[in-house]
Amino acid sequence: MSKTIFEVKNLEVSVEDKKIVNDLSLSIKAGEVHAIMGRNGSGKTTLANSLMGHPAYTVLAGKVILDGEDITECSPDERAKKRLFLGFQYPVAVPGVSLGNFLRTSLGFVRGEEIPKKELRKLIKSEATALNVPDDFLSRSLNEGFSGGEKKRIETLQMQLLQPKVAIMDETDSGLDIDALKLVAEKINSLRSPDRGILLITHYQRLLEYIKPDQVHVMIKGKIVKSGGASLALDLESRGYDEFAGASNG
Amino acid sequence: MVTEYQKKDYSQFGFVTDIGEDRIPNGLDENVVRMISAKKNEPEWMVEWRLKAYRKWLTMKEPSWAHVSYEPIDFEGICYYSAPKKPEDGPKSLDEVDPKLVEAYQKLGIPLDEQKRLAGVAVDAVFDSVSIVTTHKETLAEHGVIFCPISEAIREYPDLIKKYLGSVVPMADNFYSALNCAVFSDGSFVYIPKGVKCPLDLSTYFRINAGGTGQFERTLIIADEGAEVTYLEGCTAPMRDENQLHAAVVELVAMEGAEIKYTTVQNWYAGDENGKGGVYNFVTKRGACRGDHSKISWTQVETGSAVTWKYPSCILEGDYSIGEFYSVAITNDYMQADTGTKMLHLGKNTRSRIVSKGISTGHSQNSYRGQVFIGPKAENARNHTQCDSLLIGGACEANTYPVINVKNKTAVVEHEATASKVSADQLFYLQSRGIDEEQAIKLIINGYCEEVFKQLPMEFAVEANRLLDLKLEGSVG
Amino acid sequence: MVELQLPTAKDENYRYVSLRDVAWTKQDSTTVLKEVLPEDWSSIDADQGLRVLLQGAYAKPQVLEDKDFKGVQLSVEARPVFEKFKDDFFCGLIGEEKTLVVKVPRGFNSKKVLRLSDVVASGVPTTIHRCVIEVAEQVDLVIHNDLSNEKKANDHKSSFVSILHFEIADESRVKFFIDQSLTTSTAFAFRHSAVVGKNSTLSYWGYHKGASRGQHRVECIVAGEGGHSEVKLGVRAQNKDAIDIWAQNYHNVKNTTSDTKVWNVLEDEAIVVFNGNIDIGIEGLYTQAYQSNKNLLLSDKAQVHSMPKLEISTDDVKCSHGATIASLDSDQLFYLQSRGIDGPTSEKILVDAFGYTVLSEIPLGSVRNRYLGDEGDFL
Repeated sequence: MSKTIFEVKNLEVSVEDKKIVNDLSLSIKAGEVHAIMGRNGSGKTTLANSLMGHPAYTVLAGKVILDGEDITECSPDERAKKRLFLGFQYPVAVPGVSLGNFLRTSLGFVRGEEIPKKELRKLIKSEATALNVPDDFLSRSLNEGFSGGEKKRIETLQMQLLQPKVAIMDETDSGLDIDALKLVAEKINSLRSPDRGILLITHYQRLLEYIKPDQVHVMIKGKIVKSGGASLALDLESRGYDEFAGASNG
Repeated sequence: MVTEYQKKDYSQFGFVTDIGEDRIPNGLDENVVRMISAKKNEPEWMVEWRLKAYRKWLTMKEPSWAHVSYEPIDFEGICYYSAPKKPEDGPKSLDEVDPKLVEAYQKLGIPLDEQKRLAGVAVDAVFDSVSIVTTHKETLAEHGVIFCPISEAIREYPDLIKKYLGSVVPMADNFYSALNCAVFSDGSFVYIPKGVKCPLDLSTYFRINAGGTGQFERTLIIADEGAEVTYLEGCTAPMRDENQLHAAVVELVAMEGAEIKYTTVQNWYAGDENGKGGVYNFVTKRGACRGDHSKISWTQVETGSAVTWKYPSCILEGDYSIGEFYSVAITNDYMQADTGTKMLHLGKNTRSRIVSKGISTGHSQNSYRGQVFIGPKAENARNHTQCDSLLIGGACEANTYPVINVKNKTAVVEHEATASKVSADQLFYLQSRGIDEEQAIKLIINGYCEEVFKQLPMEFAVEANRLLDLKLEGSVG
Repeated sequence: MVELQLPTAKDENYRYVSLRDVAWTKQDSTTVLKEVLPEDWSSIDADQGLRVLLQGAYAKPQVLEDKDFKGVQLSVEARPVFEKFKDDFFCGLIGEEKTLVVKVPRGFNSKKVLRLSDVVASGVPTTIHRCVIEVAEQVDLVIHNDLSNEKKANDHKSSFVSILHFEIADESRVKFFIDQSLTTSTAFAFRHSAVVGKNSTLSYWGYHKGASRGQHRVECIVAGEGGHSEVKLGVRAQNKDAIDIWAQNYHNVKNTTSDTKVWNVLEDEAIVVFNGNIDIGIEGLYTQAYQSNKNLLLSDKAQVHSMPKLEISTDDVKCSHGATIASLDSDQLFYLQSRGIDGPTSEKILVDAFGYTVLSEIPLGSVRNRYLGDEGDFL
């Protein structure tokens, strides 16, 4: 029986005085891929951001546990160092900071113990090539002027480099065409390992064709209303969210 | 259509006060102030209040920093109290009214009865105004809403008046507010009790005309905790007035969780094509978001007056309070407008939004003047300002004078202003679809004002669109 | 040390900044020579270098030695200029009759970056000067007014007063850069202005750091069709610095453009005031003018006051301004932190990034490098 690598216990999150996530619980075992499916406005991005410790989101109650350690009070960089990763839906642009510089700094903080500085550049280059991220991207401003697909590839590159224990991918499939989607899905699948948990947050079932989840959760108005196996996603697709909302209220 | 207008009519009740026929001589001194107060049967503390303001006014100087110029006002030549017109004195029918005025009413889609009322023609009881008004008064009374003339409120609700009058615009705030405190004669008082969402939009649509134009109006609106109210001032019909100076004061107070939406459509006489005559509209309007999570929203469509000088403002004291300002100001011929807003962020997590659309044509001057102030304790304040100026023709002027003061590093303030003429590309596109130039320009300009117009209650929005078209006629193409 | 009577906080133009305790050293003025050289420049070869002949100035009239340049003579004469500066306090510090006029001949190409002292006169202090630089047609001129290497820069309580006016004739390109990295307790006052001719360009860049009191006024009148003026200023205000920036653009002929950007980074208890204006007259048809003021507030006690203005008197123009004031973007901070970079380092990266966006617009590599460390650190 594999260990529980990521646990969310009765989480309640508010932003700007409004409660968005309401008594949400989740448990991911090492080696598993879970998917949370929800409509726009269901609280998915709030959940993702608060799991990573975004200061604008207030945790009113509950706990977040990563590999047995309670990280509810940790700052975002501490969580990253403990190997939690969040792939953003809309990665923010940071003009004036080059991608290369940023990756080196980040890797230095997170994996600095394992990898000597000299090796960092080589590692970055090889992983970038594997993901079709060209050299000149490394000297461009972080996330500035990149297309949606390019940004997602860069998020995936970061995930690859940081080797997280738990990776949360927020709507990774949005804005991607089939080819880009396949490439990203391939990378995420390659990350699957007995020591790692993956949480996919998505709106549509499409991504789950390429990354088969072990468990699917349906999220409506900040709560998980139903959990099940991979087939639940297809069920949701055919019946629509409203039916599940009705079911949860009834 | 007529019935719909009638539904808004309830506010007419109670605004014509009972006074004698003597005229007060021109000019202003303590006696005049006392006479005004006496006419209103005001209690002694109110007379004292007025006199205090009058004495203060004597020590103040007329401000001159606005980008407007006008003939000096002869304060001694103004009559500070005029009796309302009697129905017998007015025109007997619309045929006796200035045809241009009637044409304007028709273009604005104002129904015949309203036209008569606006022109001062005695109206036969085509509809039973008293019974409708009674119904509305009952509805308001059921909810505990107080909506009455300010003079009545001074007599009937002295505690509320003493507590709130002058609390948002202190009498010494500026030259015109001090004058107003001394000589105000009419205006609205609104009190919405805790938790009540006022069931009707309150409006002064007909009140203004019934009693003769109010030159020194005083309005006080209080929304207690959790209360909500929408107040509409003015009307699109062109309003003629012998009184040149309008120096009103409007104070809004929003307690915790309350929301006040104040909408103005102003179309005072702007003077002739050469800029002679015309109303000076110098108004002080201010709202205080006293309680947490309160909201005050100002929407204005300024299309008249020779000189418009006003800055509806919000003081954001409560945490999470919100202030909004939406404005369309259109000037043509020789009109001058210097208008804008002040958003003072004092509490935490406050937000303000400013959308100002200026349209200048002819030889007019249209200036936006605004201030966004973020105090040192105002954590996480947010402001977004968008001021756009549209110039039509090469002889008009558009100016933007924003002032942004930020004393707290957690604030995020974004200000943007643009000035341009009507887009040639847009014009070409519409024309290529068969729309003639004048019509196309009107369409484009209506689209330009869309963001502001959508804040208006629907009937007003329709009127505002027509009003805009009317104002632009002859100025475009 | 002379205590100057400076504009006070009540003076309308200087509402938020009061310059206090500014000291300056008095310059001797001697006899002003009224002779001027003949104005026949057509015989001068455009490839020749520069030599400045100083006649009538602060100190004695003198002819300066040759520098790297070959021998083109420029006349520097003293004569009254500029009505508009009559009432200006700082202009009053240097009498009109002490104005130096430099004429740059037609077709002159500076080929490399010139220091202001080369152009004006080596005997003239760059710390306090009043000059008019008349640029003839088809000139390519690049001038760097470098105050950071001044000996005076390291003197406690020294001050700099620079009054410069460019008269740029048609078809010329003038690039002017002023920068300083002064120690604290210095003060500066700049009154820089330019009239830009037909199809000419003025590129004016400035960077301030270290002065505790400063007032920088730049006015550009784009007076010829096709003219363009570009003003880009960066300010790094720290400690108790109080800096006042005015950037004005006037357009009163057809088809002109301007672009003004002012970036401010404020720390500690600094105050920066920005007054901007785009003034388009009735003849300024087809003007395209832009102005932007971006402010980064890094500390609790810093204050910024931004007053960008537009005054437009004709309709067929495209004109806009923007002002933003914020601290470090919390989403950007979160993003960096989510990748393991700790709080203080993330903040530093973002401040460096802002500095980089300001300084990357400066085409002079040497200057850029002075303010950006090897790692792109924003110094």
